[in-house]
Amino acid sequence: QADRRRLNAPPGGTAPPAFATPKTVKLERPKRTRKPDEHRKIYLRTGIVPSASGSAYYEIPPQSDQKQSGLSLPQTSSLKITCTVHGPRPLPRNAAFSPNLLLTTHVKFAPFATRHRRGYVRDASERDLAVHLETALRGVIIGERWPKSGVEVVITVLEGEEDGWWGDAGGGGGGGGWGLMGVLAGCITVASAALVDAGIDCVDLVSGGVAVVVGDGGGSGGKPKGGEGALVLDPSPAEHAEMRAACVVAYLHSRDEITELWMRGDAGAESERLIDEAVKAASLARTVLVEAVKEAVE
Amino acid sequence: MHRVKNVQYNEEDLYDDDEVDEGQGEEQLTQEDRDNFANLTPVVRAELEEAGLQASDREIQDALWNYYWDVGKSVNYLKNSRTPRPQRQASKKDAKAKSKFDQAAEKAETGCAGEGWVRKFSAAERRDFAMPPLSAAEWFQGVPWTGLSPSIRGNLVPAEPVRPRPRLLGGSSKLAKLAEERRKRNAAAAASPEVEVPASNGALSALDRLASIKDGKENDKPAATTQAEPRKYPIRKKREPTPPPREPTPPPAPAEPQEEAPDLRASPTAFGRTLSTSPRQHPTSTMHLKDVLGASSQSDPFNAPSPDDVVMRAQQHSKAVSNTSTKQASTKGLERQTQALNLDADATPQQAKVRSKGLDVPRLWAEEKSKRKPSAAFVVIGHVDHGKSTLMGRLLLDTGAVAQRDIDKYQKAATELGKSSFALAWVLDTDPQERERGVTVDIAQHHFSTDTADFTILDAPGHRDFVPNMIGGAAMADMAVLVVDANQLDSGMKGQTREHVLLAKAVGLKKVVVAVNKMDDTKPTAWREAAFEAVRDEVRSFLTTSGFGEEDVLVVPCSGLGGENVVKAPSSMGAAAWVAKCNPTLLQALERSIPSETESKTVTQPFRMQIADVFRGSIQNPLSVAGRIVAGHVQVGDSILVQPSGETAAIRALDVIDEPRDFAVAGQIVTLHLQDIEAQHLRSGDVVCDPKRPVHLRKSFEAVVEAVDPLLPQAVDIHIGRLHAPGRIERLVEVMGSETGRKKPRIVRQGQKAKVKLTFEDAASSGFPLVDGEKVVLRAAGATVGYGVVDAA
Repeated sequence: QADRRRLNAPPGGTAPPAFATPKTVKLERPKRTRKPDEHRKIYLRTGIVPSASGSAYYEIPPQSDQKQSGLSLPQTSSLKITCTVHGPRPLPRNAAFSPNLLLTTHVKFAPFATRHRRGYVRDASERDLAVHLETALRGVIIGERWPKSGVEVVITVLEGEEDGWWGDAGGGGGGGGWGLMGVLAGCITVASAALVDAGIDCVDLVSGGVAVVVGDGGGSGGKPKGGEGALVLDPSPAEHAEMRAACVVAYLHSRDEITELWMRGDAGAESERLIDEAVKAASLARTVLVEAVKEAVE
Repeated sequence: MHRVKNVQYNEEDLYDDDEVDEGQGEEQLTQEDRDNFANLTPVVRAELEEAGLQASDREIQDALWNYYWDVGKSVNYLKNSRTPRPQRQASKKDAKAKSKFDQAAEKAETGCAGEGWVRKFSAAERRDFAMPPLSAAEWFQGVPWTGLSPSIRGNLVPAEPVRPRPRLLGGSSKLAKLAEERRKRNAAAAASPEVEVPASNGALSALDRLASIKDGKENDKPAATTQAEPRKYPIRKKREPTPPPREPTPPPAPAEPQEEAPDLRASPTAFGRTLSTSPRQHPTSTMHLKDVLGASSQSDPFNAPSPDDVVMRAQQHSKAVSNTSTKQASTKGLERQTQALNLDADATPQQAKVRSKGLDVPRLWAEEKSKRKPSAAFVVIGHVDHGKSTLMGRLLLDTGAVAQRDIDKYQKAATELGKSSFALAWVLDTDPQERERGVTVDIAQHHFSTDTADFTILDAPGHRDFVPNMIGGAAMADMAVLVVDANQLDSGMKGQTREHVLLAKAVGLKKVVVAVNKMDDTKPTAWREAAFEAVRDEVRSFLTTSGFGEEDVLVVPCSGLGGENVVKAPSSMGAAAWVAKCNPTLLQALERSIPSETESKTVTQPFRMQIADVFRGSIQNPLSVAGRIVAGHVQVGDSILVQPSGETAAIRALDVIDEPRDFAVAGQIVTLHLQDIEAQHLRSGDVVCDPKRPVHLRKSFEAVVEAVDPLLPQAVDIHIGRLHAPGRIERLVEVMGSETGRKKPRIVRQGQKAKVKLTFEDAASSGFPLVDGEKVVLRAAGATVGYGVVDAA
């Protein structure tokens, strides 16, 4: 009955640390300081795992609001994703014949990746992300060149985007799954870099981008147009009290194709603009991707 | 709030549960409920007052509501909630059952009034906590690792996997040659122009990293080319020069992304830098926990030798000192020591080598002499079924070397087979085949000791088919015990008794104890003195004519099956009373005839030992050999040479009489546990010797033999101890003896002594190890034809 495969937690459980906030500090929702069409900076590097045939590390460093707030806890979440690619390698003997490269994707959040702890077993949202990622990558890989082989893309999210601000009443885990959108965009970009690192033929570099419709002004630059929300690129969910709709795309820039589109929420009439913005975000992420790949080849 | 569910549901209750909420429950009470409250509240109050307690209306009503108008339970509940004592008891009970975690959780919970406490605080409430602002370093002040002394603080350094260098298989193929060439060329090219580009700033240069990876993971080609290779598909190359597909893309691209490109690249966080940096290149840029959370000075704890190293060095030092102080006298010891040190210097780490202690064995042997009990190995010989094994079983049982329990076990098993009289023999006959047939096949070895001496029994087979085994056993012995059946002397004399005595003489045994067995079975009465005397006289005369000295032969009457006069003398009453008067027991006779000890001269000779047995001892000692040391000495850690295979081995341990010892000398029967050698190089009959003064292999040799049967140039089996090989008498060199001495005789007659030249028949082998003065036995057609010594090897 007991789970013997893992190191189990002590029975009874422990209380999670609750960080008391000093009285003197006034908690304020972090403000988006960059322009609505400005992407956060990205750090991307390939070849970090020598034992894998390809690997990459993607990071959006935390925005430096920490000093101002005087808190030891960052207000906005950042993103750290590693990706390893194993393969192409021969399929097991008992597998059926496949004329194409079989692509398998695994996405797993580290237990400590978000404020809401994750289990060791992949949950539904992680499996969902894996499916989205697979769709995004399937469109770029030239699978016919590797019959009877398989490739595994394994993504570990070391630090994931939160769904909201932790200062909010719900403690930031208010659901909505907005954070997942940003994570998926990162996953697509990092997986693309790792595929290139593994030397797997692709039609193009695929990059992920995310855009949202927010209820508030969308930070400094944007103004709400009447009752409609503003469009914002690459949102950090903590910075927006209300998010109406979000869209992730996996975009092939040089072909102007989308291999994956995921929209959630109600964008209303703005859906098309929302997609355009997401594509724009993806093209921005692509610049970093191209640089990182070039750097590795040089 | 739940109500306790020990009341049957009615529709109303269910309805209530669904509808009634905590806050508004009061308003929706039915008339019945109100009546109940009105009736029961005073009752409960009265009961409480009886117990000297106070309670408000509200509390009483709550309790009643909770317990479905059960007055007794409500009163009980209220009492419990008032009186503090029982509660404490309960909490004590809890403390036992609950883990610390539970306690902590409970404590926290009570502190927060039992609500989901984290959730309870709104953002506004949090601000009410009075607490000074903290920096990370302050926050972690109390945590032990910030106060660590720098010497024991560890670094987080990403481990770098060591990857084997894959090479092409099949070294002789053309492809492999080509690959080899190419590798050489690449290596040459890499050696000359490549200079590593130093990292310019904190951000890493991929070039550097790639260069370092090239060293670590490697096929036959440098990594850079392998990585680039898959992209150079011919299809692509063709595509590259054709511009059309590229054309449409450039115009839209440069518009936004190119201006943004430099902006979007971020420098990594400390974690990211650690993850993507190879530690070899940026040894300083690794992430320290203390760097992230609180600054302090750092030092490299691996600069100094590790604690293990320090201890080892000190030990080695002291050992060397003691060695030199105690054993400086012996040059040999010193030589060994230096050897061992040299070995240490370039020792391969994967194999733990047993170091020789460098003992001066001859001196130790001489020193120990006074403390030592005399010891001897004796071979038991005699005609088949004269009771050799049974007598020895009795000897072992009565000296306590074998427990009565084991004998009982054998007795039971033997009875099942219908051979209950063989139970004692089974002590030595361990092979199932031997037991079933009731005949000893191979030499069995067993030890026992008395108060004054240690003995090793070598139980030889009596059957004529197994005479070669008997020769091997006799060659290991110091003396012989001849067992004769008091009732069947004649059959014995015709059969193996005669041959065994001859062979015992041939292998150089001097002392014989004759055990006249089965005295309890003499006809017409048991223990008939006349029968014994008749046998004694006949055996004595036979032995003396065979060449044994009168004083070297002791004759003892005994009974192996009954045990009389084996260890204990028979009682002075009864048929065997005459025995005690003038005859010693078998054991006394054995003790009396222990030959004098090996002289120190043989101990200092080069080491020689013939392997009697090769076996797998245990898991620790996978390969062991047993045998008697003919000459010289040996100690743990010595390396030895095995002839004729010519392989060397090291002695990891050695046993004498089943006890581990540091050394062994000539005359002892030892078990050597070997390492660094394969079992295929070891066979019984091989000779183990000193690698510096090895035994030489011979294909032919001269020997001085005494003919038992007339000898012609003929095919014979040559037995040298355990070794037996087909050979032939090549030439009769000369007949020895004063009057009949003659060169190149045609025949050597029975009883004559002659020098003959012997050749081993086995053409395939490179020869056999031979030593001057070794005893050789020649047999032909299942009978001994001659015996002698190796003259000129």
